[in-house]
Amino acid sequence: MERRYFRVGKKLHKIWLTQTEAGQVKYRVDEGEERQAACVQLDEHILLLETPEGRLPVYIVRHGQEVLAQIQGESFQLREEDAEHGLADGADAEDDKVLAAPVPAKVVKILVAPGDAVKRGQSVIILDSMKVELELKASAAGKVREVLAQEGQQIPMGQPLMTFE
Amino acid sequence: MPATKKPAIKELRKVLIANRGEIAIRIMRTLHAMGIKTVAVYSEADRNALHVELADEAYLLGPAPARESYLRIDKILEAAKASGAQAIHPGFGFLAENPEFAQAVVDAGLVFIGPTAQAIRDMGNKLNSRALALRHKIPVIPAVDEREAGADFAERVKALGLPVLIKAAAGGGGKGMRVVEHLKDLKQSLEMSKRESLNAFSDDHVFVEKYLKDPRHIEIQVLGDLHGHVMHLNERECSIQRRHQKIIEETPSPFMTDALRAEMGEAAVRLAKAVGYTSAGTVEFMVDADRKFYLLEMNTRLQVEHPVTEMTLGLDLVYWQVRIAEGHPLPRRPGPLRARGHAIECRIYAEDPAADFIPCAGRLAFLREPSGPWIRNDCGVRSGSEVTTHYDPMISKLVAWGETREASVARMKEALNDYIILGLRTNREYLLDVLDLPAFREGRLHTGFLKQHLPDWQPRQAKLEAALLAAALYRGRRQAQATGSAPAQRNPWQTVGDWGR
Repeated sequence: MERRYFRVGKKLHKIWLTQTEAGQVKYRVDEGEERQAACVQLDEHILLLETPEGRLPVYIVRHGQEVLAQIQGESFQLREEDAEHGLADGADAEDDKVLAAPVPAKVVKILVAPGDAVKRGQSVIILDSMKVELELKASAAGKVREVLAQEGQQIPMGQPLMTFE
Repeated sequence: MPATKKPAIKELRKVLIANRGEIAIRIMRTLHAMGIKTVAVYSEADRNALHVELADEAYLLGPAPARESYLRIDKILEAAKASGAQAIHPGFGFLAENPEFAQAVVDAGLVFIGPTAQAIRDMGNKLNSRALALRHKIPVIPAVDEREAGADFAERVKALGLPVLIKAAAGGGGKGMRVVEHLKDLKQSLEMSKRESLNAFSDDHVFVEKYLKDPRHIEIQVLGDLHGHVMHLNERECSIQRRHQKIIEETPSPFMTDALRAEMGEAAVRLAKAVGYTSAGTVEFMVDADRKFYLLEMNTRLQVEHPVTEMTLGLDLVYWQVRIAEGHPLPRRPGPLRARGHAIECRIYAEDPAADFIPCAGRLAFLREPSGPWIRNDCGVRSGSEVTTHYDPMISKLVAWGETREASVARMKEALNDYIILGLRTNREYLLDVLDLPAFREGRLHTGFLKQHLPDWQPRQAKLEAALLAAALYRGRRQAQATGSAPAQRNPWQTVGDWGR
């Protein structure tokens, strides 16, 4: 039996897999029931799953550390994590304390200063991406600890802009 | 405005397209079908772009930022000269509504496939076009000009009644637009709008309009020729918007009546004639619940959503733009044009609808375009394409036709489901959810529709279990090996589970 961990959005999911006969797999997701499926890879980016609910073509690609998949119109972004890291599930709380740039952009205006109290949903910084101004908002109530960007600065995606306490 | 002289017919043999992405390609397809050679221009970021691949010739303009490439009038004219192109098609966006560009093209002895520089100028400034409309008895929305009002500005905005909508005088595409609900937010919003307008249009002149409650956005397509003839080609409803930008458009509008269509069509033709309009253009209106309409603006160019008109009327607007520019008269038919069936367009954007529609960049690892009866996808990318944040994030516009609205929406859903886009976040799933809303199916549309019906949208992810299973089984690229056996005889664990280990 194989146990794997994938993060989808903020949630971590477990999947147990056992290979039975050729092409057959028994699996269980999170606290769900054990199920059986078959899988064939039709092409580099196409898997065909046969589940009790029916046939599901899965369009799939590995993209850096992530696996991207599309199934019957739905899109998924899955990040594989090892067990130890995955189980240390404190990342959610940490995420709220750093505001990072969601896109490459230019900092237009910083609306708060270190020490300012912010409400959840309050606008804290204005970015310009592709000539559209984006107001980023605080994801939780708190206090601004540090401002890490400057107005006029060009920033790459994922760069921390400010921290909260 | 009557035509002063009969234009001579000038057949075009080579045309430069001063644009990129899906619209450059869409224009090229018509030109190729007309037997006209195409010249592409591109920035350093677009060296490997699809529009460069499909053109007969291509010329580098400069670095990635638009103002150093796609907005460089001098470089574009140089490319036209070097290639021997006789005409330039501007597409939409970039220089399409820049009167200096239209004039420079004509001054260089080339044909501009679009209206005259003067018509662009007359309509380009929204405050100008409002004044023109009033002179021609076309209703406009009450507004206050920030510059003209001066110190009385806040007072006059208050008199207008809140909420109000700030707009860039030089604007378009939602840039610089902002709703203000409370007077105390006016100053900050005004600042943001002015900055956005300055960045996008090099002009920070803004004005404030009374915000109509739940209006529909319905526009009229017009075509004018060089012989003084202007006709309208029915309406498009574009009420489904996010960030003041359309994402779903359709024709006919579910709200339209024959009487209203005739009235709006007549107003649009009157406005186009007032500026001597000589190409494809669109007169945009807001329509309230009582079917009263108000002029929004006139777009002096081809519109993103033009395909829905093409699908229901069985004509090619780019073909007519070229024919008109060559000097041919439009065919004159008695009575209104009869549309057949219903067409709908969905704009596919590289953006995250779960995070305030933030534009996304990335490499398209895998792309499979949908197909099927009455499906059209005007697409600007292919597998391997890099989508950057330098330009507009629209990657394609998907169009479906049906005998009825219900039929075209059903085809659109099938096509969206079948549109495989991996490596880039898009609004594809969001569009599917919009089409499923009862209010959408019943045609109860207005410009605030998405905020009302889909606030805080998140993807459904009903197939999460299957996705986890697939991710756990997927091993990536297949090793080079002989796999001649039929699928039924293949051992799946050799093709999935084991390789790459």
